[in-house]
Amino acid sequence: MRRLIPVFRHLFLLYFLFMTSYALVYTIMRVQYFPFIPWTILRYHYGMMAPYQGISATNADLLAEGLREGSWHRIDLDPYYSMVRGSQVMYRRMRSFSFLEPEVYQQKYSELAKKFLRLEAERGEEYESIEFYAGSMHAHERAHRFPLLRLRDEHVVPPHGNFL
Amino acid sequence: MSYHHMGTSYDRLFLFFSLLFVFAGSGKTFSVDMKRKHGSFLAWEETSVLIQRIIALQITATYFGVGIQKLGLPDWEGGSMLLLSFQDMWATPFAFWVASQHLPMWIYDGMVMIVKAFEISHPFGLWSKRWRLWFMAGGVLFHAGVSLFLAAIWWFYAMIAAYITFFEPEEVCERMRTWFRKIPAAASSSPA
Repeated sequence: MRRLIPVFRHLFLLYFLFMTSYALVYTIMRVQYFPFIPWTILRYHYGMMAPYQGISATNADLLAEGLREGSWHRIDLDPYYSMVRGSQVMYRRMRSFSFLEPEVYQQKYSELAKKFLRLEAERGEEYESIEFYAGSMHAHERAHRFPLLRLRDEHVVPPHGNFL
Repeated sequence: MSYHHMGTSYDRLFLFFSLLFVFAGSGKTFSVDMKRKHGSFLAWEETSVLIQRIIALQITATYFGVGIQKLGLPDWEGGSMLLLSFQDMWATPFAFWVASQHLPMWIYDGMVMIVKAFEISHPFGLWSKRWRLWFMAGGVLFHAGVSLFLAAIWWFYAMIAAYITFFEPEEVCERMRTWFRKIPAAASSSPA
């Protein structure tokens, strides 16, 4: 086994050099010259050399409202995410599920809504249902809201473009 | 260890570096292992330089890639995207304040030009023995500047920490021995 270690080292080095070069070429040319290499692998290496490239003009976050006695109340999600705002927004986008089937992605939001329903109840806020929206992260700018998921009647709207 | 949750560039880098550290022989100095084997945390054993080189290459690719990409992306031709980033989810209160000052666009254009020039030239400077310290200082200033505007300060720490991989291991050892005289001059094979 010990004699195999240098072989593994060389194989890993070759893999790293090839994938990093390929990712650099992809970064510049935006062409996948080797389509047999899974996008997941290329994306990982490309991602390591692409900080702050995916900026969009959209400034959206996940908003939540709970239904109680016939009216909707804003639920502040920030206390559930003890991190800086950028990380909060990124966590709420649940990107680790975003590239899976849309049904799986929505199912994860459904699970998240159920969790908030329980956590809010533990805090004394008994809601009948919870609804998620993609909307401006600034609470006072709520003109553009897109319903994502309504827990009670399972009315689910797929995420919109870059919003979530 | 929730790097996989966000899938951002730095999460990917941290996850990749964590994998590298598993095989880097990280326990071969400043470790409980060394204390148990050689009686001193400062004892050290030789390990392959491969992982160090891979980290340095990755840092090179990260700076160069992100810089060269900005040259081609239409959004980064001018400073408008930078102005938007001063109002997005990563923006610090200072960035919001700057954005609210309605500064002329040429200031943002200039900042983007500086960022592009820095990101493309930086890895070459780090590989140059002559210029390394200057570029390291530039890197600290650059990341400190970025951290003023973007609340992603852990990114700053990790990149600065990785600069050490551009030095030769012997050079680092010698420098460390001037600070900690108890570090043995040679690799330990018997109790230190």
